[in-house]
Amino acid sequence: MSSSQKGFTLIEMILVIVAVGIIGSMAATMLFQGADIFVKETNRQGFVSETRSAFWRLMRETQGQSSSADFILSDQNSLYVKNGKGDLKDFQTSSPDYFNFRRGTGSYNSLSNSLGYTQSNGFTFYDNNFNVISPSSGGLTETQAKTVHLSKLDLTFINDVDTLSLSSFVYPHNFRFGSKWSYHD
Amino acid sequence: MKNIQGSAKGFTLVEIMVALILLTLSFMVFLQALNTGKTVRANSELRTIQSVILNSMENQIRARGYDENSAAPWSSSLGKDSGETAINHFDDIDDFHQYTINEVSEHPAFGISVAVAYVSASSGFHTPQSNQTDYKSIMVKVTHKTLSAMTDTMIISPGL
Repeated sequence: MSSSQKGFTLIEMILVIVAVGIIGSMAATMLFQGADIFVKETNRQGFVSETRSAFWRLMRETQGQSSSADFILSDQNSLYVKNGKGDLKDFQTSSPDYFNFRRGTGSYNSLSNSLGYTQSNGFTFYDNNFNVISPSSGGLTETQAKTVHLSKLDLTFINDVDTLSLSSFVYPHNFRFGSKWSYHD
Repeated sequence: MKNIQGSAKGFTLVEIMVALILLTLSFMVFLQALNTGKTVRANSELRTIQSVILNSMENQIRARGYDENSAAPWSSSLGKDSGETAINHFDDIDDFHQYTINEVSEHPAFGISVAVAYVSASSGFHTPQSNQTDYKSIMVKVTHKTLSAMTDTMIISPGL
């Protein structure tokens, strides 16, 4: 009787250790899973917001053209635009994962390093009848550029766990400051 | 004496197990919170796609002329005109009236619907008018199978 009051028996100790082990390993699994989900989702969030800001920049810059002649030299991998002051800007995509932007003739800034170059259709230009204009080698000629009526931006972004395909038509005419372009011409 | 000592010396097996189970339960609550974060982030990706689809549709509409006719009176019937079977035949914005895509290519969980109506400045561009006015309101709606729809309305004038 007195011996059972003094401490745990071997059986009790084993039971406790086994129980602690089982419950502890369950808790550890959950914690690791939780940490894993957290890390993955934080990465994904970063990827989505980087992609979103890059693509929206592209859409906004493309939207503000005063004349479609600004698109001269553009092709599937490069998009030349001008801002309200007439400064040249261009977007470039290149293998394997670069999506870059520059103003004037300076050096390129990276908008995203997770572009899936081979999966992206890049930039497409449509004429007044919504037929695709095939740029001549070296990009759209001035004559071709003047017939651009609608453009399509189609980029796919990839990181190790996620793929995000974004494609948008963009009507390049500047509504606020530009002259009438599509209506009744 | 012995009894008091025994109960004061340490935890019993049952107590330890109860404590551990409570601890595990609290971890589960923590995990659930993480899962909510996961849903929120997945939704933000879907919302990004949804808003890009909406922008794309609006820009396709903006690329068209105000009306079939080049001057007032504007056409009295909104919707596709004869011979305009595909979107690349559309030449004015009201051709998009009742235009629907059930499953957007590349993103089949999303759908698009468009409604066009004449509106007037005197009624705050809200109420659809039965007569032809100098403003058309274009409501573009991008639906999703589980998320709520995203809607935007543009008011377009003939640029006179």
